Amino acid sequence: MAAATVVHVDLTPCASREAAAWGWLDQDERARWKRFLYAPPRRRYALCRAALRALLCGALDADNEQIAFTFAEHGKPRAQVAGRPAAISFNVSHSGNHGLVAWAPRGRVGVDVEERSARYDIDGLSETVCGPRERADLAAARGDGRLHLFYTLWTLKEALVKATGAGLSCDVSRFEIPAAMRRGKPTGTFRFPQAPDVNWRLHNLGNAAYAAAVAHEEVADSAAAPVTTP
Amino acid sequence: MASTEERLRELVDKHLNVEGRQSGATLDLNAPFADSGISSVAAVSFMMEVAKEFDVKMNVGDCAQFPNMQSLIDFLDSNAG
Ligand SMILES: CC(C)(COP(=O)(O)OP(=O)(O)OC[C@H]1O[C@@H](n2cnc3c(N)ncnc32)[C@H](O)[C@@H]1OP(=O)(O)O)[C@@H](O)C(=O)NCCC(=O)NCCS
Repeated sequence: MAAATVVHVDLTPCASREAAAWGWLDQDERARWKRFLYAPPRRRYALCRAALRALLCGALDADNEQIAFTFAEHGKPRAQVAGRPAAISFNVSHSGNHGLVAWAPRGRVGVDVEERSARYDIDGLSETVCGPRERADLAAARGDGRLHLFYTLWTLKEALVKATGAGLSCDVSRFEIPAAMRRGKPTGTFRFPQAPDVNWRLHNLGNAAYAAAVAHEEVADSAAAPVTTP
Repeated sequence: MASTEERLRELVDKHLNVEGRQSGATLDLNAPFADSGISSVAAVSFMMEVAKEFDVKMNVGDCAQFPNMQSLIDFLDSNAG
């Protein structure tokens, strides 16, 4: 199975890089850029979208001007080249100074990055977004380990619902991350209880600076189905 | 008794982490949440505070159904106890 590739995008403030990134955006994206009410999300959007465009140009052997985006029901972007759906899956995530772009030639992909923040009520959040065994593991974790585990679970769950395209319209407390990954294993396989025929490869990509994860749908290499983002 | 809008404005100032926004800054009720760049963790965390304050049941999947503050006010006006 062809693997997913994940690239890190540096989102630290930098006027010249932001101006260069803006130059990559099309009219709709510039309009969106302008609508952002605050500078940090505007910066993250421009830098990540420009990085995504550059990656897609390389992967699809296309010019930037040929690339456009359409959006699935819950907002997941998909790419078009010269008006036709592109045969590539991708997903983008940004948090603080870190962006990630993931793509794969086939199989749906979702990625999530979060700078860990102690400002949130982790116990309350866990009640809302975790299943009973995840909550038990969190309750057993101590100190920083708790915060790290929470963000590990969060990013893995979010990578999965971003891969399907449902995003937060899916109640992520209704499925649980595999036990071995909750205990620190960096990779694993997952199936949604309501769709057990589809296997998802999970990778925990977290490091000291951020929590992050990618989910990639397993598709046999010989499968004749066209590759599309959801 | 404060209106739903006033209570929400207070919750936004206290609990909604919107990077770049000054506390107390004007809040356009019809501005899409997407234009504020609110992260999903911040959104879910805010939703929990709203559920507590208004004594309503909300789950994480409800987050995506409110495109802006006005839609949340409308929901609370018809569902809050
Ligand atoms: C978009 C969403 C799936 C991820 O949120 P997040 O963790 O804060 O943001 P991330 O940085 O990880 O991901 C954002 C990127 O995911 C992509 N994306 C948007 N919707 C998506 C979806 N349904 N599925 C997969 N990817 C999606 C976009 O590329 C977006 O970045 P861009 O706008 O710069 O191109 C989640 O916020 C959601 O479902 N939102 C819809 C409802 C909402 O915004 N509610 C807020 C008020 S309660």
